[in-house]
Amino acid sequence: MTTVAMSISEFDSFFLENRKELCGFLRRKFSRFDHAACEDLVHDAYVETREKVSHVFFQPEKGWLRYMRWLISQRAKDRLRQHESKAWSDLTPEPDSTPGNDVAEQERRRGQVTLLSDILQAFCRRCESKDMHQQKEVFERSSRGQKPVEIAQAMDISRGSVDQHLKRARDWVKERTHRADVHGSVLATFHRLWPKKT
Amino acid sequence: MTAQQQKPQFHSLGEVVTWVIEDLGAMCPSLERLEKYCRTPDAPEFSDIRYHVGEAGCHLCGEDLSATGQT
Repeated sequence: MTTVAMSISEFDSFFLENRKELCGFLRRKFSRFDHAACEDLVHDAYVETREKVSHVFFQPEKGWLRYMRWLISQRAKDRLRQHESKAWSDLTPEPDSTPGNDVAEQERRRGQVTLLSDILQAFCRRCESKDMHQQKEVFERSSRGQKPVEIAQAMDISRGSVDQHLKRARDWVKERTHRADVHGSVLATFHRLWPKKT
Repeated sequence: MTAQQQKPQFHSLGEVVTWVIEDLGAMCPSLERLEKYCRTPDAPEFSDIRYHVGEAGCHLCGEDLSATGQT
């Protein structure tokens, strides 16, 4: 697809023409957001893109509508990730509060903000870049609650292959998690989700 | 009116994991790969996406696929 650059007035017209469609797309995709929240997110994406259009020669590679759908999806996820951050804070025990410890503690919690979704996304991108789609499917099936024997049956592969894929995937995720998991809470979750005897 | 969204309630870390996968799309394929899948959905290299979109029923990717089909 060939995309042409737009002037600000052209972009404004494009946005006015497509605003309703973008809000509808966002509302259908992220049902947790009400209409007003979708309007806010779409407007924020408009302002962000308009800024780009006004300062640089900006030309989305695969079309303006596709770019705007991608951008509003990213911004919606950013907002949802704030919940993830709060969820970790609510569920992980408060450490002993001692003078001088609070600042360091806040810093550690900030570092934990998007840990889980970031690591799982990184795992998916790694699988895509290395053509490891079978490992990704095994891992996703397991993460959604399927037992190894069920996975083997559904994918028509041996139980041994399932175990091998799961071990490699979990080792990679655990290693990445361990690097940044300050409280050990994410790792603890994985240990509960991935018991040794499956 | 202030923009609102339904805030999820979590009671366990496991519920956060499920939410991250289902609502945040942490296991979703990249948009580029999803578009390739849209063109050749039966290709063997897209078996993981067939599971993700079909059996697991990822609504995030479902909406992206609908939008891709319209443009």
